[in-house]
Amino acid sequence: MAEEKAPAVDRLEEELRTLFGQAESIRQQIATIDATVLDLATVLETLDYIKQRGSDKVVLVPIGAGNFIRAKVVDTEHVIMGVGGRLSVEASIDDAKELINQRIESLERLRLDLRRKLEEVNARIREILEKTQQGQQGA
Amino acid sequence: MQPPTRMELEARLREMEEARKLIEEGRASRIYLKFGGEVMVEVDRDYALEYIERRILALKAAIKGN
Repeated sequence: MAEEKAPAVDRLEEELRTLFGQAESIRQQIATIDATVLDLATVLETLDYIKQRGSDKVVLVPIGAGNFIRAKVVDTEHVIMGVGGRLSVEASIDDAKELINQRIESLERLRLDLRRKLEEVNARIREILEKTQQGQQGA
Repeated sequence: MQPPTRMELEARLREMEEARKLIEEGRASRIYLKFGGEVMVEVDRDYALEYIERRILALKAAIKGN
């Protein structure tokens, strides 16, 4: 009898392995989104500061390996922002902030979708684990 | 290096579409393209839009094949 059940148990174990892999991948994607959102929030804070109080301020420009040179801010109205690929554009700070806020909103929507997906995967994992435990108790 | 996931490719595609919109709406006062190393060269609007179109086509093909 136990031998007859084996293929079903194998299938569940296989599904469980796949689900654990999916859950890990989703968690990694959420962590990447969290880091990007944090990064973008810092950019927003910097842009606000530069626009309001940046005029003629001395800033430290990284030149690599933890070394910096002092430089002065000469433009507090524009920022050169990476927009994907090898492309960067000069935009007004207000436009840049609007775009960054849109990017944050879109990432937050994506994060919500991923969290829902993760919850579904976790629910299925729990279901399979319960089934296998019941199977072991019944054996 | 691992190949990009479908999600990453879709995010890059969205970025390129947003960049095209930004340039077409005239909100980019200057446009730069990174060439060798970290050197960024100012390019004109048409050149930038051509570059974006090529990237969009390549990304769509990669998403389709993913």
